[in-house]
Amino acid sequence: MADKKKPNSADDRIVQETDRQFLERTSTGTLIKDVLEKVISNRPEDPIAFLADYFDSLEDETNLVSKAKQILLMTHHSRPVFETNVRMAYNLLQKHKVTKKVYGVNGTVYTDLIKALCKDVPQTVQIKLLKRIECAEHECIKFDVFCSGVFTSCVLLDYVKLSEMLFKSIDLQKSGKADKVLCETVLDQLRTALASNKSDARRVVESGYNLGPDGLYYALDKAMKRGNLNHGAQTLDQFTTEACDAFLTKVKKLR
Amino acid sequence: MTTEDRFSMTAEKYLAKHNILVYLEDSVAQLLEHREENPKTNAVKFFSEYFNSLRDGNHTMFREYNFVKSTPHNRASFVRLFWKCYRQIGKKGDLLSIQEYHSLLSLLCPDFPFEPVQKTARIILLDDALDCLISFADFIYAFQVQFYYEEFMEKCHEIYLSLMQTQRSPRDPVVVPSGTEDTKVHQNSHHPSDGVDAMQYFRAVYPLCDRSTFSTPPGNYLKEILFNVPRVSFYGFLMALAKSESINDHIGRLPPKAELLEGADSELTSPTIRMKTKTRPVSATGNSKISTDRVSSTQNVYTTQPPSGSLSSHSVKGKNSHINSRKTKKRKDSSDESSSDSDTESSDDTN
Repeated sequence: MADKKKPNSADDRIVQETDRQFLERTSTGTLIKDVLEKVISNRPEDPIAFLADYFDSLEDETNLVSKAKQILLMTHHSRPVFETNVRMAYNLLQKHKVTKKVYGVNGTVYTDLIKALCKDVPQTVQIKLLKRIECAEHECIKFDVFCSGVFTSCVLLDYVKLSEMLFKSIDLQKSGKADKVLCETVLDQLRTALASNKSDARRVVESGYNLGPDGLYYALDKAMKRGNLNHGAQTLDQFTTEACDAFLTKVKKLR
Repeated sequence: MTTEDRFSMTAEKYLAKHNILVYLEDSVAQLLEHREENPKTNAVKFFSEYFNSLRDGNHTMFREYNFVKSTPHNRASFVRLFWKCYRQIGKKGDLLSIQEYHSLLSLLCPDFPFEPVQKTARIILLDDALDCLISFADFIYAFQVQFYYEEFMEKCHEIYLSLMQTQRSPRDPVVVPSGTEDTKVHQNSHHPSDGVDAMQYFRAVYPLCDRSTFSTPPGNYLKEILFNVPRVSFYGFLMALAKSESINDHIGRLPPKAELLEGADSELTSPTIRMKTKTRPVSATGNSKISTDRVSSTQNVYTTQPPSGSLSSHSVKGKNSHINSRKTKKRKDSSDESSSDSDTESSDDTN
C-alpha cells in the first residue's frame, strides 16, 4: 500500500510530493507500526474503538493526563502488559512542567490522573479513595507510589462495576431501588468476607464460599424467610458507596 | 468469545479475526486519496476521524461495493445505514419493487450489484413472482440476512439441493443417513416437492456454524427454527432466518421489528441524500420514476390491512399467510397507481 506512486501532472502549480514522500514526511509508517504493536500487545476486545481512542489521544498532544489515562486503560490490570503501560504513563507524566525548569510527576498531576480514572465512580467514593492515596501537591511522586495508586484505582473501577451488577441482581422489581434488608444482607456478607486476612486460611476459604452464588443465595433466603421486607429501599448509589467503603478499608493509607 | 481465547490466539489470528489489517490498509489508502484534494492533511487527525466513523458505523457511505462487502462489521453497518437513510419510506408504508430498492442501494454504494437484491426478493417472495412489490420492513430484514450471511446462504443452498437430489432418487427410503423411524414417517407422508426433512437439514447445516471463515448465525438459533417444523423448504428456511428476532439481535444493528419505524428523524442524513441525488446512477431498469406515484397514497392502506399480520408471524408456518399478503399487495398496487400526491419528500428527492 505504501509503494503506490502516482505520476504528477507537470502543469501543477504547487510542487506535488509523491505518495511515498508524503507518507515519509508524516511518518505514517511508524505511526501504523506503533499502533499495530499496541493492538497486538494489548489485545483489546473491541480493536476498532481502541484504534479510535488511540488516534484521538495522539491528536490531542497537550493534555498529558488524558493521554496517560488512555494508556492505562488500554488493557485490563490483570494482564502482564499493564505494568509496561503503567511505566509508559509514568514516563509520559515526567514531562509535566512543575516550574520553569523543573519537570516531573508531582502530587497535582497524580491526583488529576486518579480523578480522571475514577470519573464514573460515585463522588463520595472518589473523595474517600483520594483521602487514602492522595499525596500533597508539592510532593514528588515516586514510581512505586504512582504504581500502587493507579493499580488501586483500576481495581476499584472493576469493583464498582461488579457491585453494580450485584445490585441489579437484587433489584427484583427492576425499579432502580432494592430492598434494604436484601442490600444489608449482601453487604454484610461482603464485609465479613473482606474482613478476613491472609493469615487465617480457613476464613479465606469461607469468605470465598460466602460470596459465591450458593452462599449468597443461602443468606438471602434466610433474610427473606425472616419476612420483614419492605422496610425501605436503597438506591444504586447508596449501595455502591457502602460496598466501596468495605473495599476502601482494605486500602492502606499512604500517610 | 471469552477473554482467554483472545489472549491465547496468535497475533495473526487476532488481527484477522477483527480485520484490523483491512482497516489499517484502507485508512492509509483513504489518506492518500484524501491528500490529493487537501495537500495540507494532518495524518493523525485523518486517522482519528477515520477510526471514529468506523467505530460508529458511518464509514460505508459512498464506498465501493468491494469494501462494503469486505468485513462483517462493514456489512452490518451498511444495512444500518440503509435503514437510517430510508426509514421515511418505511414510515409511509410504501411498497417498492426490487429495481427500486436496488436504485436506493446504488445511491449509497454506486456499484452495488443487482444480484443480492434479487436474492433478497427471492427470500421474501419465496422464489416466485419477482415483480411483486415489497414493504420496507420485509425488505430490510431479508436484505440483512442475505447480505450479512451471503456465503452461509450459498452453502445452505448447495446442501439443500443435494438433499433434494437424494430424496428424488429411486432409492429414496434407504438413503436417509442415520434417520430415525420418525423421520422416515415424515418422508413418506409428504410429497418430495415441499422441502426436505427439517432435522436432516439441520444436521447437514449445523457443522457450518461458528466454524467457518465466513459469518454464520449461531447454531442454537437454527435449532429454534428447524426443530419446530417437520419439513422445511429452502426459502421457507431463509424467511425464518430473516424474521428471527434473535438473529437480528445477534447482528445487533437494526432495532427489533416493532421499533423499526419509530424514533426521531434527527439522525436522518437528508442533506447528503439530496446531494447524492444529482449524481444518481441509472438503475438497472432505467426506472427513474421511483415511487413518485405510490408515495403516501398507499401508506394508510397497508398499515391497516390484515396482511400486516404476516409481519409478525415468525415461524416457517407463516408461509401461507405470506402468500396471501402478497396477493393483497398486488391488488393494492393496481388500485393505487392512479392516485398521486406529489408534495412529499421522496418526490423531492427524485426530481
